Amino acid sequence: MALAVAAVAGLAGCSPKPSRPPVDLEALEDERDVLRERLAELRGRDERLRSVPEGAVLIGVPVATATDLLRQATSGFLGQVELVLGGLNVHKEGTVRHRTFLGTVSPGRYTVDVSVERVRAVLQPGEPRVDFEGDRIGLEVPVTLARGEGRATVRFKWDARGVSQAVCGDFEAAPAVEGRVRPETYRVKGGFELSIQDGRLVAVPRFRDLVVRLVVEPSEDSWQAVARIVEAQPLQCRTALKMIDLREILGDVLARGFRVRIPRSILKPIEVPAGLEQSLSVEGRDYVLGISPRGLTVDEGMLWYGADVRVAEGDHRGPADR
Amino acid sequence: MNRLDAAVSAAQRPAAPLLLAALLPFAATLALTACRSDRAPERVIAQEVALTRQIEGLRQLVAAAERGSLVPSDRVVIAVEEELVRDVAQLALPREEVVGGRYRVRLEKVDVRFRDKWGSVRLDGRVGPAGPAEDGEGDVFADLTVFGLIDAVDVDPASGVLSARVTPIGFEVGKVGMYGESATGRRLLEAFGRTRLEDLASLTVPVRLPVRLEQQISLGGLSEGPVRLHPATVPLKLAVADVSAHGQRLWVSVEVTSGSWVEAAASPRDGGGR
Repeated sequence: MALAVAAVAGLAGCSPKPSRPPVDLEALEDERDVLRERLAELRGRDERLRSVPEGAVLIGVPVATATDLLRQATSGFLGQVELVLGGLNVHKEGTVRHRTFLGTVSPGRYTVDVSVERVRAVLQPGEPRVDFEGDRIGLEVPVTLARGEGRATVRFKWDARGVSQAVCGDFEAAPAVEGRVRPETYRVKGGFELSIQDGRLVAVPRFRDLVVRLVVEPSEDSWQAVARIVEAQPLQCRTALKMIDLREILGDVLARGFRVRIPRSILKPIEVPAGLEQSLSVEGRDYVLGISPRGLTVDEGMLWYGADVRVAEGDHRGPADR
Repeated sequence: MNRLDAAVSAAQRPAAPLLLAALLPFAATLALTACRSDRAPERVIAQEVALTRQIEGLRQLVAAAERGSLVPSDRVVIAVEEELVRDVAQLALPREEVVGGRYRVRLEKVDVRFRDKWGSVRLDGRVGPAGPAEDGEGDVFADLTVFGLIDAVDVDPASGVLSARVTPIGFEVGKVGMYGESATGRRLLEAFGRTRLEDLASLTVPVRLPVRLEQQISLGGLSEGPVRLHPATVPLKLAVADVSAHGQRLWVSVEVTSGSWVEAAASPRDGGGR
């Protein structure tokens, strides 16, 4: 015969207790059973429950939450991008021709070399638009080149020709030019494909490379510095140089801008911040978990992924057995 | 007085006050078979508390289902099957602990049930005297079942792994081994019956759910080339909002709130997000 002693929540043995009204346990059990049946019925009708995939572990993310995270992650990525260019050279040259009653004369040639020391700009993303389409998520976001500035040296060389050499000889000037990068907005369009990688739900970006053009607009001080190239010359020379619109030439050179390709690879896969563990540490020992993805569904406003998880056979031992 | 008698004697202390119970599927079957018929009310009280708690839990689930769904649509939801949780919990067994300085408890098997709102854990093993065997007393042991309740699930702040906290809510001492019917053995087991629940806290196994929650999204840096990235992170605030057991799964709802991007001072590396 076995001796059995039980305690429940501090219930101390079997000492007598004050009498209390008898409890109808059967009635309680009946009520419980009715509630269980009702719950089973409601579970069967629960559309959200019916939309979940199979698997020992299910992870559900509200579409609204996933959308917010992707929106924030994309904006975060793009908002941390800085474009930095340097060591760029642009060359332009031309011959000045002037029609006179004696015919066309050519007082000289000019050469403009723009050496861009540094152009920097940052991207400023606008509000992204995210659309769920099955397991693909479309995303469109405006991106503006913002807070950019550039610094360059403009080397102007005048090579006088013919009679003008007498009044306006060769000269060079190399003023520094500074300016801001012209703000311009681009539309980044693409999307994310959802997949399960190593037990984690990952949104893999599918975008094209984004090509932007950095255009430096010289400051007013810089334009004045350019103007002083001409003003610093003797009067006769200034007359000859008036045939050249140096501001226009330089403006044309800079307006072409500098193309920068932002590779699609800069956008990395984004993990939804809830995933399965590959291993588990219990009592100081690590166990490998075998994970078999079971499905990915988007339904009823929830994004679900499920997986079977099993503890690797060889490691399924408790520490006291070792 | 031999070692075993000393253990029994030392255990004769005032019992903890009557508290909760809440036993649920396992505990509803508790058998206080040592009680004679004139002491039946304790058994009734335990079953009444267990049933009442079950009913309360079921009412909550039914109410939630009638409002629309048992699964919230505005929170991250993690659902884990009871078999997997059982397998993971079993990894920590067998486990031996000395309880109250007098009893050696060895737990060998765990089972979990996710029904009726509450997650229940049952640990089976045996209990005997803690000291070395003297005069065959080491052969005194009894089957022991500890009942626990998963009353909270937390996100480990260091690893982000979900872990469940199991609180013991009761225990049962059953079949007695060799010599258990001796007067000493009987007294030992009766004394163990007065063990306080707090003393059993060390017996509960950690129940880690194989799910990790990231607590931030990180963006690596790129410091060379025309396109550069500043390393940055956005913190994610995670809070377990609800834990509910039904349909043989434990459903954990987690509220996720994201902060703002903060530039990090990490060393530059390939850009990446996670």
